[in-house]
Amino acid sequence: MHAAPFGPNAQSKGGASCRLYKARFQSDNLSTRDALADIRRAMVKNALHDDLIGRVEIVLAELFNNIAEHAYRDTGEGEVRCSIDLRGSDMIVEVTDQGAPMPGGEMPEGTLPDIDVALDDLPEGGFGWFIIRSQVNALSHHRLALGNFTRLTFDTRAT
Amino acid sequence: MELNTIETDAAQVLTPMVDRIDAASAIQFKDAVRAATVEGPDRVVLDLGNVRFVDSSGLGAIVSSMKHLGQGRKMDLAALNPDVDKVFRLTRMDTVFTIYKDIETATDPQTGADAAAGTGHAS
Repeated sequence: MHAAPFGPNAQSKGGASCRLYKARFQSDNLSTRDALADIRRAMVKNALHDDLIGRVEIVLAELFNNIAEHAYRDTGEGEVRCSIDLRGSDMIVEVTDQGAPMPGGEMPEGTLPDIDVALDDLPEGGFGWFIIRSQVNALSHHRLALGNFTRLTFDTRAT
Repeated sequence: MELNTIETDAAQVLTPMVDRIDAASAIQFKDAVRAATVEGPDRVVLDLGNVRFVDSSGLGAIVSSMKHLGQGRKMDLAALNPDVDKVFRLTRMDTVFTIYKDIETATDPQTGADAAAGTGHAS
């Protein structure tokens, strides 16, 4: 793999940079769980605070689950690549897959499902993009020739 | 999924013996809760004390399990860690469930009885 899939501005920002994590894994549930455990360990090792570690873990869990379910259509197959870098006070997470495009070519708006409903009508899903959007400081998505590129930024200073 | 079950006067307490309810374990969680609650008290308390992480699949499985109990029965939650609590607050599911800080409060005759009567606001 070369740097190009990681987007136009991936290496252009100045300032101190530190690679926290880089890996590729299959999009099945257990490989995803292992990757999340590795990412958590890398964050703990770098003494990042618990609130940030929790935010990153839930956001990446939702993003990886979405890739497995939608980009790779629940086949359990298909590679996810993820890199995490600390640049200044930002944590930059870049994720690529080789799966299907987002519906309509855009990331879903992530509206919170209505929960003021009868018991039987309570939603059991549809929370993923809402959770992602609520926990990141910046988010962008590009359709690649084959696959998707998503960049998420977390402010490591935010509490 | 291993699920410990204890019946107290106030409720049936279900304790998942796992640290994650996520996309990999959501179905096993639902199956285990359904099997454990076929019959029993009207009030179930889900003790999440061992659970460090719940994603939206896990949240959906908990909601599904609560719905499956049906009318006249209810599911309360206890012992949510900060990350798990955050997922419930973000999605406003904290307004659907009564949430107790620990299992002792959830099964206390005083607070538990209030909650069983549908007036509990213990979180």
